[in-house]
Amino acid sequence: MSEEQYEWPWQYSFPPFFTLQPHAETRARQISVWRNLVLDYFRGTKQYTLDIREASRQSLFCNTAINRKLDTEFILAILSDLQRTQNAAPIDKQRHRWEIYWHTLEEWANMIYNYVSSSGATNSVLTLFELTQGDDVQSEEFCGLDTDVLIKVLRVLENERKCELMLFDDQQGVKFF
Amino acid sequence: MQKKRWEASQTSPTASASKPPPPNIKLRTGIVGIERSIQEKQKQTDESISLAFQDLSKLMVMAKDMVHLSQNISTKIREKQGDITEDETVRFKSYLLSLGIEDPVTRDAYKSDNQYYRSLAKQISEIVHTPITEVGGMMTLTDVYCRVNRARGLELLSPEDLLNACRLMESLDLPLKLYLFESGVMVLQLVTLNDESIADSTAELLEEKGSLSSEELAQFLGISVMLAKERLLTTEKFGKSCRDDSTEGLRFYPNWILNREE
Repeated sequence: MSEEQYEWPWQYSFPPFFTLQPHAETRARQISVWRNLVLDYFRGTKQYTLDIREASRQSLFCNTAINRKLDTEFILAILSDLQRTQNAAPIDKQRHRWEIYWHTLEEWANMIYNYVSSSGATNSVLTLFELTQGDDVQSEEFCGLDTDVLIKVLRVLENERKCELMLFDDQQGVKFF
Repeated sequence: MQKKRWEASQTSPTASASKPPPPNIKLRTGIVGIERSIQEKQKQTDESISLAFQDLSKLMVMAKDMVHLSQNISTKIREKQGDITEDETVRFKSYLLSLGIEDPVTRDAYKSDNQYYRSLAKQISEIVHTPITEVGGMMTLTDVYCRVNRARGLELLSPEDLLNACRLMESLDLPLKLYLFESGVMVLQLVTLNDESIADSTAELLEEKGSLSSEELAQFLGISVMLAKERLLTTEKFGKSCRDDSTEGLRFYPNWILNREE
């Protein structure tokens, strides 16, 4: 769905939700709700990356209707918590850009491997494009998966000896075992 | 001119020969006369001052005696030797009375600071107990300082003395006690006042009003903005409110983040 279609939870319209709470228990609950919101939003809108510097332009972190937005400290707190559960990872040193794994890399890996096994595509080479954009995969959860994320997912499988990545300048493919 | 002066001085003795001349005033005219009379007045003043100082040295002699006596008494108290004879007590009190001191709680009257502070604590408690109850059970130490000193009139308290006395209140079972907020604000509050009950009542108010800032709460309760802020912070500490900190200021809402049913 598009960003405009996304249905926000009631907390999104509650001003204190955008202030990092000092009370420990309240903060824990608040971060938990934000985590779920981020993951759900990214899944719903099929997005995979985020740049903190652009946060003020994203409606996820900025509710213009009540004139409230998250500050950088808060966003980092949420992302750090997501990182802890392997649902996010920074992709640059300054931690401005992040990948959001609304399925963890492990989960994606299992999903893709199961699909490949059940569709009998093991021992054949697939291009990365086919794997995520091909006609056969349109109904799959991993359809449209970001290429960088996909490569990370495949590396997980590589470590488990379930595939081998073949990345060349002109072609990017993978062979499953 | 000489002739005239000579004449003038001759006439005055004769004029005043019939009656005894007033002791220090010479009859003179002109500027010199005025100058002379000023000089005479100065001399008079000098003399009367000397006389007065004579009295003062008498006072000092008396004071010496009194100081001796009080030192005696305090030594006796310190060493717990012998009794202070009734005679000495009476003499002491009469000295004090003659100086116009009825019986104030002053530092000098007490041997040790602790005794002083205990009595002070009781006095302060009496003075501000009712006003504190009237304003909701809590008053900042600065307000207490003003009220106490206004009530005492003379013999004003230093802030230090006030603080030390207030520190003792809890241990003396007085109806008030000193409370220190995390922010450093110090208040005197009723011992019956309970943090959690404040949090509860403030939380109810938040539910009613939707949200409140310190200024709004202060206005509503008729208390200072500082105390209102402390109330809101206390409520937050108990998890009964959450804060909204933005460019529009700091406001508090009921803690729906934690407590609202999903």
